Amino acid sequence: MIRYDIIVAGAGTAGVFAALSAAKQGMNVLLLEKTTACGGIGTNGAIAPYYDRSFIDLSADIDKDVFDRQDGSGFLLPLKRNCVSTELLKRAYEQELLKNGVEIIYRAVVSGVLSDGNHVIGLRWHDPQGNHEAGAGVVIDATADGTVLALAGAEFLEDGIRQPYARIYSYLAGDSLWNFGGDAGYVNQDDPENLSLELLKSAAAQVPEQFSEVEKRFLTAPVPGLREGRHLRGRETVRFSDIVHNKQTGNPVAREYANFDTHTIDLVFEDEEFYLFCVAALQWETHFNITIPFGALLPVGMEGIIAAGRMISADHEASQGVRMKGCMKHLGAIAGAAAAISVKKKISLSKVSSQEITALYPLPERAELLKQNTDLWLSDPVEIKEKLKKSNPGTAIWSAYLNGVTEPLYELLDESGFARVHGAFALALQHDKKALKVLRELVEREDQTRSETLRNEPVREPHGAIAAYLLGRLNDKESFPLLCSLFENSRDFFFVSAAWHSLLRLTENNSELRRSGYEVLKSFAEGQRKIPPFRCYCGEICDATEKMKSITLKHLKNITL
Amino acid sequence: MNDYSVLVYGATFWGIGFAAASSGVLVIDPGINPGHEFADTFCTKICRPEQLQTEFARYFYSVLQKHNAIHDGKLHPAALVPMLCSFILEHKINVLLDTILIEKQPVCIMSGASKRNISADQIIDTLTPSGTVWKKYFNALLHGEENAVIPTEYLNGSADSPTIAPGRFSSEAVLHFPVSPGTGYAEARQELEAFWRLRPEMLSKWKIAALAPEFYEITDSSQQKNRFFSQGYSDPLLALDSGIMEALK
Repeated sequence: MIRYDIIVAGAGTAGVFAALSAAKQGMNVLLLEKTTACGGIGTNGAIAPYYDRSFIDLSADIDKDVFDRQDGSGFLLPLKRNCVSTELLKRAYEQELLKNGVEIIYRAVVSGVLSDGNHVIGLRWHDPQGNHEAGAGVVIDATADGTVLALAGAEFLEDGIRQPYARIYSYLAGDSLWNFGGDAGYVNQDDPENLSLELLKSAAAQVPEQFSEVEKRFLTAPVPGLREGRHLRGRETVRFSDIVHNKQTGNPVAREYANFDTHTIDLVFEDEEFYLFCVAALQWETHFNITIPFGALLPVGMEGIIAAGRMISADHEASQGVRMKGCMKHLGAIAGAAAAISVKKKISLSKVSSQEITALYPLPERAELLKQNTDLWLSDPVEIKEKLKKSNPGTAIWSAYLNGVTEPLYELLDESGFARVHGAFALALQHDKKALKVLRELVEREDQTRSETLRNEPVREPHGAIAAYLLGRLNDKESFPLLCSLFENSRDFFFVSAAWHSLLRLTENNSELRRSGYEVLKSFAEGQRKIPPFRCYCGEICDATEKMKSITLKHLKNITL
Repeated sequence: MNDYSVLVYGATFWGIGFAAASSGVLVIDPGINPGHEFADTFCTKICRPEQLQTEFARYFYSVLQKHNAIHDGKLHPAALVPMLCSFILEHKINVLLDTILIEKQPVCIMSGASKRNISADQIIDTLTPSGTVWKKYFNALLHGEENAVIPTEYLNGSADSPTIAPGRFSSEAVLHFPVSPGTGYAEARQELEAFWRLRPEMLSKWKIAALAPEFYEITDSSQQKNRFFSQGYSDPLLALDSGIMEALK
């Protein structure tokens, strides 16, 4: 059997940098890729924006090569600055890998894992020539979805929630090339039938009335824009709550400076703190320092295999900040370095120290990365109060929540406009019932006003909808009829879904409301009513009716009348 | 359900045509774009509707026409994937994308990390040429700037040198770049980029919008011997038509 020091499965961004990093340490590396080019979503997926915050030297030569070659290449270039020709990037990756001695096999799909007990010792794969296998000192799973880890029997976190995916095509925009980023709803790529159906539906939805020369189409990307899949159960885990509460610990091997770039519009289905963070406190644009410990790449109870890519051990919420190209490069480089150290020293991956890895790829020290996340927040109650009067109060709302600022905000409830609403939101986050009066008013009049994000863009959720959600958080029994009416009569998804969420909570938590709440919810779950649709990022119409019915039925099962 | 009369390997035009006119067929494909053998090689050829023998194929032709994807015997290749996906859904064809055939006896297919054994009375492979590949092309989709024309020497060149075929729109064309049969994707990309960088002035108004994700291959087998190999047909609708005809036999 042929043997390599390291086999990397998947030549997406993480896989490319894993293979390159290992090869530069003198390793004999095989890279398996199921498509016909390197770069994954960043090339084959037609995502031209570079999103490069990797801060590692390893990518510098490649970046320079691509950007230098773009002009005069005779290739149609992307529309915006800081975008690359995905075609030129494919070749730049490939040439750098080949130059460093990496053997690349395209159209190779990993079909099995060779193991000795809990130790992965090689891979099987299938390509157009048939089935093959090879041994390896270390296997790096860079398949994004953790396919190799799953085949090896690794454990995964059980989040079950995923971000929407994108089905992208490239087209002519003016005199440039651009990609239509069509968020296409949800898909479970672990379910082959569901994946196939969704891929067919999303491509079919892109048939225009008339194909035209003005927005001439080029190519439906042969790789789907899957933003999230399985998350490994690692020896350490990156958690959203730790990041936003400044509780990150351990010895990081990588840093990311990113926002939680959620593409989810129906955030009402998410974890409560994430909803409050993104919607009530308008914080999804805020950039955080996210540190990634080495243990997040290592599967629990297994040796000989390491994760590189968005499948690392991170919860669903945190993973939305550690999935971009820059981070993938860094994770790939680290996995490649760790694998090389393990092979050279003949020690298991779990014995490789974080210090040895960071000696090869030092943690970046750019100014923004050295800031503490705590510096993002306001601590002075007077300043918080003043900021709450603005149209973009997110930082102040979250600061009040983190620092427990309540009393100074009571005065705001007697004011009008943004001050009154934002004051109520900040108090409701802290379970302060003084917010109730304002919240009820907002729901009663289905208030359509919207605050602004940090970038001064109006948020999707109107004040009235956020208030409806917060009434559930405050367990406001008096608002039960109001919420029932909103749920049953509103024609706006955000109002209906927020009222529904609160009704579930009120029904569960209050014995006196249980029977009437049960009836309202049962009637919905078993009836024909359709929930008003909403638009996802690309403008696709999404229908959450079945999702809401399914969740409702689950809740009803747990209610004892 | 895991019992099928036929397992078709390749969500190709031939394979989809066969499944559209059959029952109990499962179509699987390693990729995610049905019809990739023509769509992802930027095929601009389209036959005349009277050359098609089946209703299904003529119907597909009419839909392409209705959506402005065909004009004057030329096809807009980017229309193929979304239109074929729509056709698959409309005709409720059983397709599993991102799925490979890893064993033929017993039949074992794999999607992501999940493997399953299925039973199929017959396997039809529409992806693999049964004969030797004697011509291979690495194509590129071109975008022409204002007033770009295809020089005659490229329009009517020999099969062994780069040629350019016009697409559905005046600013659309496809470069057919011949490579030797043993050439891999990395080498082909390098050769094509080098050629394009030094292309003659007469092509300066044309730019590469995309490189084909797949080689276009021509085999030396007779049509009969190689009848399941979808890319062996000169255009997607002839492949679709032939798949349907095979099912109706």
